[in-house]
Amino acid sequence: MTNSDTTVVRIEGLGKTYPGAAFSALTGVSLTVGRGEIVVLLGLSGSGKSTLLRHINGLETPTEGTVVSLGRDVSSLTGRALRELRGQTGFIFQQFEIVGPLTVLENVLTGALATLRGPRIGILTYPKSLRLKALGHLDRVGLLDRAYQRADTLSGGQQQRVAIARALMQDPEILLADEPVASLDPESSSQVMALIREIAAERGLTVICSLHQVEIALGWGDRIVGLRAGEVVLDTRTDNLTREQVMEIYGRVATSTTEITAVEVELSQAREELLSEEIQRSALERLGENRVTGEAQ
Amino acid sequence: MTALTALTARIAAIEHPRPRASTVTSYAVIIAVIGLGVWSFIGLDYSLKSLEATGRNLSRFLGMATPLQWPGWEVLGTRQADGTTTYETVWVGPEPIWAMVGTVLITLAIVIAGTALAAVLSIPVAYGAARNTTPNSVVMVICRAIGVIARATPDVVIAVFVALVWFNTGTLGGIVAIGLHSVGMISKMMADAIEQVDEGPRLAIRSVGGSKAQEFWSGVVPQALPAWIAVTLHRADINLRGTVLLGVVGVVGLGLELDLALHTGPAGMRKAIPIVLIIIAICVAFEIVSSQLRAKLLGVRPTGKGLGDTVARAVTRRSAAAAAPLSAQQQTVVDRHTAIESALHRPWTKNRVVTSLGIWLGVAIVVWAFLYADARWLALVTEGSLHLIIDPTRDRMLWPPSFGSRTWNDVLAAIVTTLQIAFAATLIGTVISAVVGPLSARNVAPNSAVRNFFRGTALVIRAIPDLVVAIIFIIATGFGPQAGALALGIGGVGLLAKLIGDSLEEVPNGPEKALSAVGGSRSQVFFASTLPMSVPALVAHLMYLLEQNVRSATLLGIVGAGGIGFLLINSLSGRHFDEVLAYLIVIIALVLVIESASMLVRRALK
Ligand SMILES: Nc1ncnc2c1ncn2[C@@H]1O[C@H](COP(=O)(O)OP(=O)(O)O)[C@@H](O)[C@H]1O
Ligand SMILES: [Mg+2]
Repeated sequence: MTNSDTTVVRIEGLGKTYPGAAFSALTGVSLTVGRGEIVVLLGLSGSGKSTLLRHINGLETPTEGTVVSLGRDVSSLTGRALRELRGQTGFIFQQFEIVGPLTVLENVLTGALATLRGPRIGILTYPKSLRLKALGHLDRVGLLDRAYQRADTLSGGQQQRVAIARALMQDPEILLADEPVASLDPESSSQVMALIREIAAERGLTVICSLHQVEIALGWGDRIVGLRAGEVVLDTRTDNLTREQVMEIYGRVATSTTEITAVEVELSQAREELLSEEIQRSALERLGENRVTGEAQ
Repeated sequence: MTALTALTARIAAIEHPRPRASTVTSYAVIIAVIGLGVWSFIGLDYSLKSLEATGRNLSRFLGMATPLQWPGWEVLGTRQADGTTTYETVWVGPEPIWAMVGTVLITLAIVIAGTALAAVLSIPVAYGAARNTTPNSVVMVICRAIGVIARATPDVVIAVFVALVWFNTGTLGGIVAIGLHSVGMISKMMADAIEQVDEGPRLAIRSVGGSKAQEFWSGVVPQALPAWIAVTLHRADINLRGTVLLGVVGVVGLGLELDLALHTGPAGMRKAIPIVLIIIAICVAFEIVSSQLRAKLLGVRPTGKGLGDTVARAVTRRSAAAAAPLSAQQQTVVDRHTAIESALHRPWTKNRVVTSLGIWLGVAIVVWAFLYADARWLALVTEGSLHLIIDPTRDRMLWPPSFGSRTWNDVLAAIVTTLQIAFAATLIGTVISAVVGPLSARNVAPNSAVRNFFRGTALVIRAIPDLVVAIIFIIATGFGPQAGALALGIGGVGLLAKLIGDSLEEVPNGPEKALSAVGGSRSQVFFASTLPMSVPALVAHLMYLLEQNVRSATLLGIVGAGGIGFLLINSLSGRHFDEVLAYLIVIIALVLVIESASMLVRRALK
């Protein structure tokens, strides 16, 4: 088990009921994440993944329970202290949430806002050292040549990479990602997931990433946390798990270079099936069985 | 026989669904507009006798106003032996032309400076008024109230007010008047734009640890900026037309020149029509420029034939040669570090050149406007004689508001006159637009020649500032309310006919095709399909026109069309500030009532 000096996030008995909601989005969630861990949150849509992530950087306040992040009780923080915590916590959104009319470079620079006083308008209002740093991060995500382009002229995958560069600009200790590839095509998805993994390894980041797709999660994370209706129903290391048979389709895609169109058709059909909720549910249930067998061993 | 009765019985038994709220509202509004319009017509007395008098006055005016005297020329009249007068137009040198150019420039400078001032003032007001950025509901109510009051207070009133409290302040009154009044419209549209921004990027700025101010400037402003600029340009357009009225109360510029010309006998009258034509030309030119800019801001790429584009292309070509992009191979050789270093300098792409040129030109024009207008800003703090207004020992002080010697009945009668002008104008505009509008729609007009003719008609009418026409009408005919309503009515055609044409063209054309296919004639298709489908949109436009006309009718009172505006300007020139306040409150209430009614109707139409 993780001991206290390497604990980065500690959640205890977290419950959340949105104002006016009939049922709670989270109930009794407890979770401890150690430094450098790569955790995947799995669950159906509406199971509370986003809500959980938003509690870790204080975008939501708990109805009950506590969230301790980087040694600070998140719900007790306000003003500068809260901004400082958020500054140390990167957040990647499903819809990228970069500022479309601004240039790519300025979007990356906004990642440094927590360290700056007062509003900034235009690239030149940021110090040169930050601009160099931002360009370095853009280079890291492979978009240096797009620095001065309007951000909304980029493809989805590129926009998400800009968002990653913006998070890097924060020099974060934790990276939270909320379904980072749910709006992307398979090609860009794997690029973005690989990029997050590499960056986490380079910087020893702690990553908590929610995902919709079981097949991506399996090969990617160190640990899987399953959420169902706001409760943790699974918490296990991925190396105990076997890949599902449905994942073979993806294996073929990765190796096939000749029958691209045929594979693409197959792929999109397979993805549609995969995304249908039944399959996800059964996959999750099978994961649950795995946990049982894992415990038995 | 029995079969037939059975059928009749079944037909009678068919349930009539209750008409939808939007249908009921639509027809209620149409009937109300027609009914009130007719009532106003009767009230305003368009009798044959007054029409005759109008004709007489008009020909007398034309007699005095011709031959036209353009700047640079002088018209000399010599009385002949037989009693007639012959006119001779002589060149008197270019000085009057330069003077006119100066007048045009000062007009533009006041409009631009005032609108720029309003655009800046609108940012905090919009920030406070928008639901998603306002700090709290108290601030929101205050900011929205500022917007409503600014919209309802005519700029003319502000101008007179400034001129009275700060004597002899030159252009200051005009700039402040435009600046404050325009905050109403710009802040409202800006707040709407802010409420429509994508919340996601803002949330992202919040989660990197940005402050509230940083959230606003980095997450919201970039998204709302195009709307802000577009509204400001549009407002500048409206303000340019409005300066004519400001001239009537003494703000320098084309309006004042026109007012002077109209009040200095035949010698002046001959200058009036040329001034009006110059005003129209400037308005048209300004509108073309601002609509081009707006089209560009809405993402339409320039065709590349304009002067700006040519300049931009020339500059780009040169810098492109200097900073040739690295080829892929070179790129791999070059150390990443140097690549990053060199990326620090933003390349001068065509886009950047165009944007930078645009920004600097815009800034230069605004700075020029402030310098050229040369307002005595310091006077605002040093020379004010506010005691004239708030000294409780004087009976003309601002508080408490009172109607002075007038009774509630007088005020009500004035309100009725103002409303009658607005209703009559709306009816005139609607009737004419009911012909011009449909015929300017592609799917209604029998052929493109007809369509283009009526589109063009609407365009020309829209380009002509209706207030200018109204002033000329009122002075030329000697009949206030009737002439005002007529001018506003015709002016409204420009707006309404275009909106009608657009709405008809937007109607889905499936049903039209179906009706044509069963052999419906053009007019049958129009009445059976196109018209019914666009009724809600048409009614919404109608309400918009009515709203505009109430505002304009109030203003027209100031130049002699009577009504509440007339009472207001009277007490202003008599410096009865308590009355000014009372009438302002009445006007604000009137505008609020009309705006709320319009909002309710629009909501019911959905
Ligand atoms: N801002 C909100 N207000 C009210 N209910 C919300 C809000 N955000 C999420 N919910 C509800 O909370 C539950 C969990 O949602 P969410 O955390 O978004 O799930 P997930 O990210 O796993 O799809 C859902 O029932 C959702 O409807
Ligand atoms: Mg979610």
